Amino acid sequence: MLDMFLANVVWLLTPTVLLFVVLATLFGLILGALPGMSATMAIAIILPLTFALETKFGIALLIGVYIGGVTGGLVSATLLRIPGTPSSIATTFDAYPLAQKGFAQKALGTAMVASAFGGLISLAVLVTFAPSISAFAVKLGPHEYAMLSLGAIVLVVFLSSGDYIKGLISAILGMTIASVGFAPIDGTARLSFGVIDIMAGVSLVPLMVGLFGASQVISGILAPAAPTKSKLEVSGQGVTLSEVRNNLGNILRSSAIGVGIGILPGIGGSASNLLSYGAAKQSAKDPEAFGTGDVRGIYASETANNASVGGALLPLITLGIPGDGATAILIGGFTIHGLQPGPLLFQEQPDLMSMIYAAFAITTIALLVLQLGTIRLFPKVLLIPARILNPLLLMLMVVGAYISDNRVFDVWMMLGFGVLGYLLERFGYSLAPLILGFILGPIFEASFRRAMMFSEGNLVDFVSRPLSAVLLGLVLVMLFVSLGGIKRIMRPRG
Amino acid sequence: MTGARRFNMADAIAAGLFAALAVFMLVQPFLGRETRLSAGDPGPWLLPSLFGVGLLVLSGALMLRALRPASVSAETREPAERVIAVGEDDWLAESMAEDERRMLPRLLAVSVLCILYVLSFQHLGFYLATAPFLFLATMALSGRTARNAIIAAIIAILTTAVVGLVLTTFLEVSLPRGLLF
Repeated sequence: MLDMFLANVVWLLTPTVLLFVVLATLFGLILGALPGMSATMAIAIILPLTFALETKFGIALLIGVYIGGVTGGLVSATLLRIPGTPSSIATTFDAYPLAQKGFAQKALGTAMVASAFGGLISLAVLVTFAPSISAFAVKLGPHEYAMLSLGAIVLVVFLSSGDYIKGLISAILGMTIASVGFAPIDGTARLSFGVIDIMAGVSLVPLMVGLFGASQVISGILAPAAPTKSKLEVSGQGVTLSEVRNNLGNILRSSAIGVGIGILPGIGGSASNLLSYGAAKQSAKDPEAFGTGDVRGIYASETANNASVGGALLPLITLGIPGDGATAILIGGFTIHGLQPGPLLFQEQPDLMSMIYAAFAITTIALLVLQLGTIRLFPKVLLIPARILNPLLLMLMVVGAYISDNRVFDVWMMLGFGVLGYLLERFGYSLAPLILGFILGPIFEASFRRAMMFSEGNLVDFVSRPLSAVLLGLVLVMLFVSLGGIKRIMRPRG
Repeated sequence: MTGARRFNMADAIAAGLFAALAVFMLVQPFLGRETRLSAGDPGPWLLPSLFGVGLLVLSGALMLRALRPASVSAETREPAERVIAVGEDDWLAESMAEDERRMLPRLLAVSVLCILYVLSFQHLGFYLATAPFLFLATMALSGRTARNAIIAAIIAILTTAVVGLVLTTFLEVSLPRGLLF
């Protein structure tokens, strides 16, 4: 594996490849930095543009966009007190006050260095634990897989959705959309009504680009972010080595929290930054210093949210189970590029596996160099007016949806899903359960049918197999707690 | 201060739509072909039917919740009183809603332009369709001044050229050629 990793690193460092990886990372960084845009949107837009590329190249670009998107939120969090992504909420607590004191360069630099630490430590965790989890996962049967995929969907509803009824509806909508086309295992045509364009199922790209891209453009046009009055000048002292040394414990603890939370479906970076900030504050001798521009708070938040990336990739690579919208799109992209995430990945496609590691490492380092190199220039992207950005993004989405299969039908479908996504979000339906339902629905269905055939229709096997029983128990507990929301039906709203 | 009570119309309409979808899903197995590969195989329609049942139950729950009356005292109070009672954030939310209404004609304009763009994309080709779309869409979202028009034109032409070049030359993507070639 090491020789493959090194070979991929060398390949990634060839000028043309590196240039495109940096450009993809920059694209993710920009969309992550702009309030209202997201890493998910960035991956959705870039995905179709990578189709024509060699598999390794495509995977490297997707990883670059993902990591860039997660990291980008720190810029607006530091300079505008607006987290570009939910992963940077805690960054605003200390980075913004520090920038306001005239140390914007230190605030940004600290956040950038912390992000790189978090990314690299989580990569080390990923490399260390992924093989053993995969080796264990190979032993899972269809019963366990069915429960695992169902569990991931319910967990996402449980953790990411404030309104459980709407979250569950969203997940079922996703699974219903995935039911369109040929059924897994026997190929029975379902819900396609003779429309040739959807007989093979609803394509991944129009769905994702529409739900996560076009819907955001609609929101952006209807409610454009107020143009910033700030001059976004970055000045002051930078990061010092002694600060890094003094924060090593903080960095390790925050990385552990980030990886741990990142593994769990549904929460990831959005919760890990707040949790690790809380942990850093609690363990400090002078907690009152937090919130006033203390670099420890920035290290905690930014290390944790980037460490969540490695955490989120762990179940994605080893089990084929994505944990949120961004990783769901990522797994879709990997699949289109011929990589089959799951326990057999290590045995069957070790080269692509090591490419993920290599791209992760190179992107993280390139990102740090890129950010530190443009620390005074990059924040100016926050000045790009929405009236210019939205038409550009819309054009990229139209082109992306078209070139994914060279069909105008896919563009119409993308626009339709854009409207659907906007309406769902507008009325409080989270999109993460929908996309998880869409990705995991077919895995659940295929595993469930295989399990039933294997057991000759005996449902008892789902509770007589230990792991399946544990997962089923978890699903039932979460559903029970979630549907506790129904109790609220009996109480008046308001 | 109990005030008037109202229903959540949006949730009620959504519940109705989801219930209709659920019924539609539940009917499908009776119209489709049933295939069972072995004795234990539940067939291809079991899960869509379960999704239908789940959706029906959840839309029922949503409808019930939507029909429970909620206090709207805050909305019915005088504005000055509301500021004291609910704070500044609600005022911001309301003004944003007003902004959204103001932006609706622009969204409609961009939507029409986008539909025309998609319709013309294959026939006119990438370059001839994209540049006018970008220019007009940017103008639809900006104030109609000469300065904005110049900026929009430059961005439209440059972006079209750069994106087209990167896609076709570097990423080897095939774009519609249309009339130009």
